Amino acid sequence: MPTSFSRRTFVLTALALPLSTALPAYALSENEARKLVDEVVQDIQKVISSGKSDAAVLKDFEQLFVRYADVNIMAQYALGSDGRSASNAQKRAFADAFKGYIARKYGKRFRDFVGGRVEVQSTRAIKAGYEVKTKAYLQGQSPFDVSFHVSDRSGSDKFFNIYIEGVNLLLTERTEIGAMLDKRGGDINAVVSDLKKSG
Amino acid sequence: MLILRHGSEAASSRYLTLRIGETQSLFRSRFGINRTIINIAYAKKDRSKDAADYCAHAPGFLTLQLQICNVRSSLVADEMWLRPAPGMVIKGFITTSGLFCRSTATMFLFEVLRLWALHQKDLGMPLFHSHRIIPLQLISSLRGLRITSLIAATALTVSACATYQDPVERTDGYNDPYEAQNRAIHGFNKGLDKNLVRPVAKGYAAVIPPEIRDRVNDFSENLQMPGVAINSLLQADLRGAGLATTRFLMNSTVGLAGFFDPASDLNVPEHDTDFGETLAVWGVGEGAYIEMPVFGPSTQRDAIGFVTDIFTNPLTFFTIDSSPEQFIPPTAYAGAALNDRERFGDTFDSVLYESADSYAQSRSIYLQNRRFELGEGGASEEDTYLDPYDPYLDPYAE
Repeated sequence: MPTSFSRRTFVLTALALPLSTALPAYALSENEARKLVDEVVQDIQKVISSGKSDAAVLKDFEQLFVRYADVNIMAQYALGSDGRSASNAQKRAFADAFKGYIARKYGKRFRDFVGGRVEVQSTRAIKAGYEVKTKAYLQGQSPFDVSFHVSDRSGSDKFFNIYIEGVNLLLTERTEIGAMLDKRGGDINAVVSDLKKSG
Repeated sequence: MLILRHGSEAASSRYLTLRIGETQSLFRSRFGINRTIINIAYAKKDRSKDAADYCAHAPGFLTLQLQICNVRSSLVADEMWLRPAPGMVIKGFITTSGLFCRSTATMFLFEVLRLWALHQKDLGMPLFHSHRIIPLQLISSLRGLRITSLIAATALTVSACATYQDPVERTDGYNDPYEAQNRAIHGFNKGLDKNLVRPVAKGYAAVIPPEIRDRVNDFSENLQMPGVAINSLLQADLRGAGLATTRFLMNSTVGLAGFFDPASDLNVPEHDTDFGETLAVWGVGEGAYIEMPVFGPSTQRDAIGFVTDIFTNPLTFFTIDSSPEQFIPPTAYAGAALNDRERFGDTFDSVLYESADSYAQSRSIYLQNRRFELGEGGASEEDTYLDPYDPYLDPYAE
């Protein structure tokens, strides 16, 4: 029925219009992307030099991760195609376990950053948002490239991937989660409880 | 793996009398250590006969007296130190496969080969029929190889590689048709790390202070500079060749034979390349992923580059003609590798022992990093960037 079809189209268009006009207002600028990375780096430095206990430091890292990273999209990507068959509750449980896992796994590494610094080199637009290229200078090591990918598609400015010397977190974790799923015969609930213990 | 250490030790020491051949079982029963033990031969100072003679003619009858020191309970197996009883001197080492070697370096080499042979045996594919003899032959045949014949062989393999088409079957987006063999070698490498590299790296770090270990790294890196310069030239990268040459000249002289790095202090940037990269520049395809025994993740192209570098770069074991100088590069390389194993220990451990599939993790990390180094992620860098927000453009979605 052409009338109802066009009406539905109209309603959809009417709904979509304000959304799409609202988007440019959200849109992340190059400077904002750079600012976000600066903030992340500063906050990480603060946590590292806080002198807190290891457990407290890891807790702080988890909070930083939730504040600055788009945890949901990262978890969804890491879960891969298996995620499509998962229920919403499973996805939520997975994302929750995932953030703790990431904070523990990479938080342990951050100790290597004591006395080091990260310098923002350049920023440029990429498909999903912006890429902020930085150089990390750690004590007793040659400087290496770290690149943050930032997007505002979640509604606020967050980073969704990190490339360290070309090795990116999303792909590496997708491989890892995939292997965990294989081990558990694709049972997401089992993987969620495994994740809580690993990292 | 036992590590020899001299100097004063903790109070928990006692003597243990051993006979060649029974070391392993004895250690197992006494300390509950279930791991590879290398038999170590000692001979009394006043004996004219070499320990080797004893072992060759009367294995099992040489009585050793060893002092067991400092058996720590935490990582028991990894950290146990032995030293000879007073009045005894080390003449060499008897490896578990019964070979006598004078230096620790050769002992490690034999141990690596032995572990490899055992591993192959476990898999039911004996590489060495008798791991007592073949490794020796293997080494002597390697030493006897003429560089020219090797280059010819390399050229042949390279041309074979250049026409190589990526097969259809891919895992995780990677070209890995030899996954079964690779996984077997990965298992071997993991065992090697656990039984040999990791504990030795710990021992190395415990005995040698970090300032000196870093000097060894600088020295080893400096030895590679002539090779880097040559490869840069082959890639028509004049800047790289200039940097490598400048660094080599400066660090070899002012930097006291490369043990220090004044070039970096004067802001001469580091430059690193290898024949694998040269091949990439020449247009040779990456080929399949392969994991090499001992040296780990690689690709067909990089493995060829690796072997070519060993036999053609000016300062390697195979290109230095005089002994014992020729042992300097591999020893420095091993020292640097051990230092790195220790310094990035957490990262290594996390990939090898904490991940759900250490093979898949190492493969992914190696290839991502190598492609980044060679700047060949895709037609443009951005093509390879993941966009998790757009599932339809996600190349890895099924």
